[in-house]
Amino acid sequence: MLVSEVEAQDDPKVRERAQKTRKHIGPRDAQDAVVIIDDMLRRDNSVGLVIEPDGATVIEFPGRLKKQFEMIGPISEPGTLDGVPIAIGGQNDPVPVHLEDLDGTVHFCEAKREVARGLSKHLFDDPIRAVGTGRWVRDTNGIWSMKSFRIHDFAVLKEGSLDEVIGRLREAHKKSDWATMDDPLRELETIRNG
Amino acid sequence: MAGSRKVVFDAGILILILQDGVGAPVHPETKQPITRPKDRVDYLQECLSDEKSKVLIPTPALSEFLVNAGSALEKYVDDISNEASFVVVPF
Repeated sequence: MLVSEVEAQDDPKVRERAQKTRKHIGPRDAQDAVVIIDDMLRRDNSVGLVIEPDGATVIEFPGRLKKQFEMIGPISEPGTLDGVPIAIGGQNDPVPVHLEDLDGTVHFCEAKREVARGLSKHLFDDPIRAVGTGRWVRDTNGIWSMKSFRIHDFAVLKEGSLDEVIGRLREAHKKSDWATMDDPLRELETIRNG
Repeated sequence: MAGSRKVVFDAGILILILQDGVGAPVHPETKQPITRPKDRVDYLQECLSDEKSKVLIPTPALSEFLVNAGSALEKYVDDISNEASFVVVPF
């Protein structure tokens, strides 16, 4: 058993980092570390836990108990990818395009020169939604990851907060037919099941 | 930098979050109406907003929702399609 001490003033930061990582919304390096540790435990035919002093589980490493998946791919799948263009360039056609998403992850994409020329107007500034085809693989942990993405088209995104967008949708909703119904959830059930 | 959570909304959640006083959905296991639905969706929105989450709407769910969009149709489609916080995804 490895016992780690944390300075009192750092306790909230460490606790938040661990809790977010458990919910898969933590910093990328922490999430990657969980995957690596779990993989090492699996190869060592072991399991692991991060626990509080009172024994409560913070992070669980299923290790050898985790189901192993068959590797699949790469396969092509149409989709969208959001991000800010941070690099566009190269001599070839298609042109390499790097999109940085909200998490700071950089996606390596490519686009025909005509599309890349349009994207260049938004370099470093505007978030865009790229429409195209991704190449995906599934690893032995069952996690799908995109290896490349060919951008066929794109749209510039608005950056309203979730609250702002929901606020606008609530205003629009007053003009919908849903808003005139006594029981819209029952109507939805009727649409689904007759 | 922290990763952003992605959550999927169906048409029922969209109605609950956009309209007050719509009643309560039935719990699929207990078959009883879910208690305090308004408080639950308000808390959900608060959490998603704090976490800067993205809302994913599968195309079948969007289709269900747009059946009764009425004159709000254009505004719905514009906001849901062009905002960074919403993404329409294939089923």
